Amino acid sequence: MEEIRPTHAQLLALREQIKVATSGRDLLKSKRDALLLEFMEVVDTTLDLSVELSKTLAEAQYQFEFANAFDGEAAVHSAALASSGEVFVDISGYRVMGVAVPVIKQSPRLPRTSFNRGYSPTGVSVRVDEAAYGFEKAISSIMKYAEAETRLRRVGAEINKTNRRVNALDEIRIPQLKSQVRFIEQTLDERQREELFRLKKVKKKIARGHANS
Amino acid sequence: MTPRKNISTLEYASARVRSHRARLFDEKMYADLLNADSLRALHELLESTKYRAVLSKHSLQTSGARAIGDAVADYLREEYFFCQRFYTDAQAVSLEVLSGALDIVDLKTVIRGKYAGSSYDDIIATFFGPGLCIERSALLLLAKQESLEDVVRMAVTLDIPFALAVKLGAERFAISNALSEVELSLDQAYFSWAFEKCSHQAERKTPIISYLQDRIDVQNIMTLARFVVAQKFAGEPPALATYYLAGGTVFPTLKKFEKAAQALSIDEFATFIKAPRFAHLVQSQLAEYNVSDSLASLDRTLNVDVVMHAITVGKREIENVGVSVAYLLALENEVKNIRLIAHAKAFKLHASVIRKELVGV
Repeated sequence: MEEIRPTHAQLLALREQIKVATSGRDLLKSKRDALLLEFMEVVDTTLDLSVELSKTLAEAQYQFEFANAFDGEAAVHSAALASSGEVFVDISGYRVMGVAVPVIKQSPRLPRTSFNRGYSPTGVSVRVDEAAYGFEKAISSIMKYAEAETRLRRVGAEINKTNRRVNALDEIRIPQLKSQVRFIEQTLDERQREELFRLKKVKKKIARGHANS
Repeated sequence: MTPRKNISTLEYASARVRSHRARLFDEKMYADLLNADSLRALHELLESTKYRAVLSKHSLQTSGARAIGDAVADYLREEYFFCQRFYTDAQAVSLEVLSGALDIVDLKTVIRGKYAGSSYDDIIATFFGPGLCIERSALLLLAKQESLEDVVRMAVTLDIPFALAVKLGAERFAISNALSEVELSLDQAYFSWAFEKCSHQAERKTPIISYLQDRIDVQNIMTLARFVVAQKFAGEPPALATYYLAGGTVFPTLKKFEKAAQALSIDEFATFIKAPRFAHLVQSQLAEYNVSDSLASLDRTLNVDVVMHAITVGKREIENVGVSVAYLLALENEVKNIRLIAHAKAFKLHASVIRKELVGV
């Protein structure tokens, strides 16, 4: 425990610190409540997107298997080589209650049409085209899901952090300050009583002196 | 002793090919394949058929549906060579043209692979074409090249069919950076090459010409259908004229092709198809499209009709290459059907789902 000077000035300073810590705790509690509301909302969105992603991937996989089965792996593999490329993502962000939340934008926009997928539509069947469309849609869903999940993780982490801070203030810092205040008050009271007792003694001595003379 | 009947070479060829045709799977065999409990059971069933040799060869290299798919494709390749040995000159050209449609996919794979920076093994893994039009050794050599420019140079040096189309497409690709330019150039070159080959060899009377025309019509119809659907998406519309394939009967001129592209919906587009056979097929699939929002059913119906028509016409023509063309197309259907069943078994799809997708059964 840190060394405390039991002075009146220190008592005032500690009382000020308790006031600041209490209002800080209240603010953090409000922030935590707001973040919890945000978290619940993001949880719903993320769950919806997760279901959508699973569905999109299952559909894409089915279309891929169907194209593989009907047109052969040669045609599908060949078309996949032609339409391969990089998906560039532009990540910006904004803040929710002080938490940085990412916004992911993809380029080129997916899914593409069969005319700008890289291969010529004259030589590729619709089944291969639909498999490509399915997977491009899945990439788009993955981006959306990644954005929502990052938001969820960050808001969750911030809630944990805020909770720890509130607990630290509630359970450690404020009780500590209060006990310090109590200690100083007791010490000051003790000193005051000692002073009073001393003064009484002095007064008695003076009175006895006067009586003797 | 019964005197030997004097038959012509073509009649003999037709008889030999017909003997192979008799080994095509019948409805009962398909029912057995569909009812197979697992992929293993399907494999065992196929081992009791003409596919035994190719299956044992491919089972050593790959497994599952892939092994079956590769094996039946290999059988198709062997059958192309079996049929080809009976013919010379004009008739052989027809088979070369038929093989070209498959070989060109391998050439595209090489070009696409080089564009994507894929390895040699990755490129050649799925080669499928029989190699009557573009030799397999030439394709392997092209796949070994470092870059797309080297492929173009090597194709010109080897003077493979469509080398000039590859060169022209690569020049356009250098300007637009769109690989589809090379592919369009190849598709257009394939059809003009095929028509030229057949007309030079006095093949006008064979079913291969009408088959080619039908394929052009189907590709033009599907390009336009995709274009009409793609209008729903935002973005710059493609230069449609470049996708036009000349030589068909449904859209004999570019002007008619472009006029049909002005349709705002598939239903409206259907009214632009005047040829009764295709108009009927497109109309019959409109309801399916409106329910599923997918062109797959239309694509399938048109392609199946073209192939089945060519088979029906070809199998009667014993005095030319028609029987072989019909047999090879029917075998290609069978290969597709087996591949479809194998993948469906691997994917645990119900037999009733697969049955409606089988071609020519």
